[in-house]
Amino acid sequence: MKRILSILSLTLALAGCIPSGFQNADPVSEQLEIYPDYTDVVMPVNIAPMNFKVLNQADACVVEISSASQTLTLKGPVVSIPVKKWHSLLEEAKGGDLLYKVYVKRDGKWLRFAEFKNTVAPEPVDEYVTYRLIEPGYSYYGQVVLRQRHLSDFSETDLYNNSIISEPVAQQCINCHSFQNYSTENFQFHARNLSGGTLVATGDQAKLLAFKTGDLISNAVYPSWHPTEPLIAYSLNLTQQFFHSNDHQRLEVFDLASDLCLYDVNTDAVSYIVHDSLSFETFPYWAPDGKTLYYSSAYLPSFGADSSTDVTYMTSSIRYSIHAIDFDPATRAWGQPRVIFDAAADSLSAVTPRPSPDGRYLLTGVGEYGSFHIWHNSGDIYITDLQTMETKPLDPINTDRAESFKSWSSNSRWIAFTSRREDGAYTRLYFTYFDSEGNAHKPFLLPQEDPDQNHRLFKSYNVPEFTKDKVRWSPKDLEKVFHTDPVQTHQVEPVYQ
Amino acid sequence: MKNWKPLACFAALSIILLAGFKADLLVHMEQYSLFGFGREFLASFFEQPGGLLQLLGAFLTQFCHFPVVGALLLTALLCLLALVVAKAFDLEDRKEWLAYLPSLFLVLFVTRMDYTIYLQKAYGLVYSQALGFLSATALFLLYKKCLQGRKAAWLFTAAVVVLGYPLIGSYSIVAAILIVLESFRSGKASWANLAAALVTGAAVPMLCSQLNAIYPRINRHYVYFAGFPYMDFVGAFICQVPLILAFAALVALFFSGSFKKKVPVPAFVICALVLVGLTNWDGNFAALLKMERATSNRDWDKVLKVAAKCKQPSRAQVVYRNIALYQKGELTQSMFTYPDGGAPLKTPAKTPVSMVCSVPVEYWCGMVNSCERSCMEFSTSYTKTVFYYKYQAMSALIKGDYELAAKYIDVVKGNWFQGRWVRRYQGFLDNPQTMDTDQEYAMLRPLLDFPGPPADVVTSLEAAMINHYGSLDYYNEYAYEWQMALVMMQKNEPFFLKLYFDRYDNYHLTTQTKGIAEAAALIGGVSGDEELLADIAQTLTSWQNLLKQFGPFANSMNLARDLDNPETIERFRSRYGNTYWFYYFFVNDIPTQ
Repeated sequence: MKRILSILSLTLALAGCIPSGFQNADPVSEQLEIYPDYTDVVMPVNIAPMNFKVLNQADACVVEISSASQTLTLKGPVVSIPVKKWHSLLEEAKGGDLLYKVYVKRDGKWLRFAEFKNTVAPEPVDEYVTYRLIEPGYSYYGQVVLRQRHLSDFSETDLYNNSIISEPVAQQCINCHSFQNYSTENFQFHARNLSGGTLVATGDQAKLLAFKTGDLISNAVYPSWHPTEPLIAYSLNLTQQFFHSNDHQRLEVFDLASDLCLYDVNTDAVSYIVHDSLSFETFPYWAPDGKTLYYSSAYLPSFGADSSTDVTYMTSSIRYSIHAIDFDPATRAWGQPRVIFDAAADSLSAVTPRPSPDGRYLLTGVGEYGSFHIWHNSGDIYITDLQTMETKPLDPINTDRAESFKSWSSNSRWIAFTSRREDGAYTRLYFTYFDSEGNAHKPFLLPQEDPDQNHRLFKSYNVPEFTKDKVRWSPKDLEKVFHTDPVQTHQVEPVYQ
Repeated sequence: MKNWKPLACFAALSIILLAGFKADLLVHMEQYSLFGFGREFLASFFEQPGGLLQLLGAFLTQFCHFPVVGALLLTALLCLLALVVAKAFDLEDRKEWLAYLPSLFLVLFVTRMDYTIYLQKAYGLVYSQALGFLSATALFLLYKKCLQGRKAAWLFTAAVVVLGYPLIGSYSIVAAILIVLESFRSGKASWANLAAALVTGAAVPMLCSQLNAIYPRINRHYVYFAGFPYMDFVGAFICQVPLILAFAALVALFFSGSFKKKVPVPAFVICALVLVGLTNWDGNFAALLKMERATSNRDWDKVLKVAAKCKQPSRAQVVYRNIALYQKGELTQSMFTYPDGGAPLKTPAKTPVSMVCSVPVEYWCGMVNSCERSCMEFSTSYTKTVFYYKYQAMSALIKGDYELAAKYIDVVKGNWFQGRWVRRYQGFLDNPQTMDTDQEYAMLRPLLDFPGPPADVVTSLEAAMINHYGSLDYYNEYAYEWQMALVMMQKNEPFFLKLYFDRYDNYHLTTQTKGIAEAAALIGGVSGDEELLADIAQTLTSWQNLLKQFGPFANSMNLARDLDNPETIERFRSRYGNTYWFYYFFVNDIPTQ
């Protein structure tokens, strides 16, 4: 038995050994190919090991990653970087570069690819990102999970998982998670169908809301927590979808009507923010000072419709622009709406405004038409400088496939966004560094312990939201909330300045 | 086991039923399963208790690709179960016949399956329940041989549940129940102590379901159903009954000591008769599985051959036949010569036709986005399957989404025995230009040029096909076949004429299939519009015989008094049953759900 164990240990040790002789490798002009493409990117100082796989043909492979005084020598082609050593390396390279050297052995001869660098930005990214993992089904859903990923390592935990409540026939869809000001103290998400409602957690308390009340056209849909007040701005949407039977774009999701409303977490009062029968208003998002609410609005007469028009077959004409409305947190009074980015005038449609936490920039999702750019190959991310009011595509991060959801880190230096660039079907989560000059850098894919995970995962990443800490609630505790009697909201009149 | 006769009888019956009569079912189960050695895939089975049964079931289901092998494997497992049962219950000589009773019911569990197999949520159902019973009885046997009467028996009983539950789910509780029943029967141990151990052990899963650290994704309402197919066969309780009978048979064996010597063989025979009698002998179900298998093999002649044997087909069989006819270039020529397909799916559950066949039908009639969507929808709601991944890969390939196709093909590769399919489609992926000369793409690519209007989210299969092909202008000859087929099916005369003359006048295409020519003659004839009739006659100059036949048909119709009279219908069927005319007047309601 001892002998077997010894042989086993030796075998394992040899399997983990770095091959020798690579130091004297000859240079090779062949282009290095690695997956994910972690070359020439800017990474946060606290990111998890950016493991990758060398795709070039190799009988053996060694990778060296160096900072000023440390070098990690790792076996390839799947490069798995130890977490502690990686962070030590990043800490030393903070504000500087990491140098990568890749060696491959072919026919007994070692070859060296041209080295590449990655820059380590001094600004950290928020420690957690929460997303929904969902198979991109359309009207049915199986296992849907809201998951929190610790960005400094690979740990991932469920915030909530619908399998905890699923029945043989009835299932629950969960969506639209939202946190207040990068903290997990207060958050909300919706559940549809089985035990449906809006779950609002504030500190150690949580309640299930029956939202629709008065003359509201729907339950609460797209949320945005006020950064400081116990308020959530919601859109109310009568959403519809249809399919393209034979088209590279599979699906259209659109609204038949939509409004904006304000929900008071303490009193359960709901009031309209914008309730215009000639416009579709959706995707509200608060400015960091809480004194402005950005949103998307499509003016029906601009595409030949009015409040009685069924827009189902006009979806390619519906175009949204970005508006803003002032808000006084003290009096809770609203000002007059104004246009921030008149995308419709340029035959574009801009949705999902996201102001940077420093208040300087505004990200929007822009496509040729409609509001749901995750299903549009034309979907790109644009940026507006709120000082100069200049709007342009955030080019380094856009592709000819859909870029859609996006989120700023709390220090305004990192943008998380989702993209279908890999295969056109499954959205993946990317990060890009946004420097103080207002430039975005080459994006990188969310690091995974096994780089091939992205090939095997047949789920999409939805709605990445940064937080500074981890949610304290467990899925089982949240599930209990869905079995409580829902709290009914009540409608009150809005206040206008 | 000393008595080989029950073994031989059981094995023969099991193999004949499974390999002989349920071969297509086994192949279906293999196609509607999935296996792989990926870390995430394997780990997913252990998110819920009882995952080992499903995992092993999924692994073994791969062998159903060869139905005889699949049948042999299940039969071997069930023979092993009988062996364990015989040992555990001390069944010797003639009583060995009794050891096969649970196994007979577990064969029935498979042969009783109906259309609800399209709504599976558990993997490896063919084998997982047999494995569950085998595990439970093996643990019981271990107790009897090693621990019965010992002080540690109660500890073992509790441990069976606590340690067995994560792996075999509630089959561990079944094992503990058997132990308690045995102690109650034999009086060799304090059954009360063991029952207390059982209750204590069984409390652990409930406790775990409340804790956050263990099984964070468990649904606490179904804690004691883990390992059983409780999410499956919804609305078809009859499909679960064999499992209850198998458990009842096990419990009955505690009283086998009091059975007379004459009991075992008749008991076996009766249970065997129950097995044969309750087996699902629905001919349409069997035919549908054959058509599904033949379609996967692109064996269109086989599809048509199977269809020809169905006297009262369901709509699912009709649409399978239609795609085979299209592939053979005979859609509008022959589709109306078939019974209307009004036979319902024989299942107590609400299994819609779209669940049963929309994935292959949508692909093979050129609605690839719809096919991809159906695969996505069904695999999110039910199990992920090799079948769906194959069609997803095929849809991605034909659309030129090669990165996506590669991902799906990789999943299929992870399953054994898919080599032939993988070689074919990996070949297209590696060399897309080879698709240009392949018959599959020759028939489908022109259909992809036809855009179709937007489709509703939830709609039945044929309604979706009608929506897709039933409203736009003439595009090409391939789409025209489907357009006309669906327009004629609906008896949509204005749109028929629009398409018909659009093609004739604007594209100067004068040839027609017999079915379209019959429809044109009929629509012209019944319109009473002389000008239209003349225009149609001008387009049918090469169909003079057909026009000559239409006159007598029209006269007969004018003379017929009661078109609902079965005798009248049969009289017309015998003379005109192979024409569109008969369909037009006598097939009134095509159910599209």
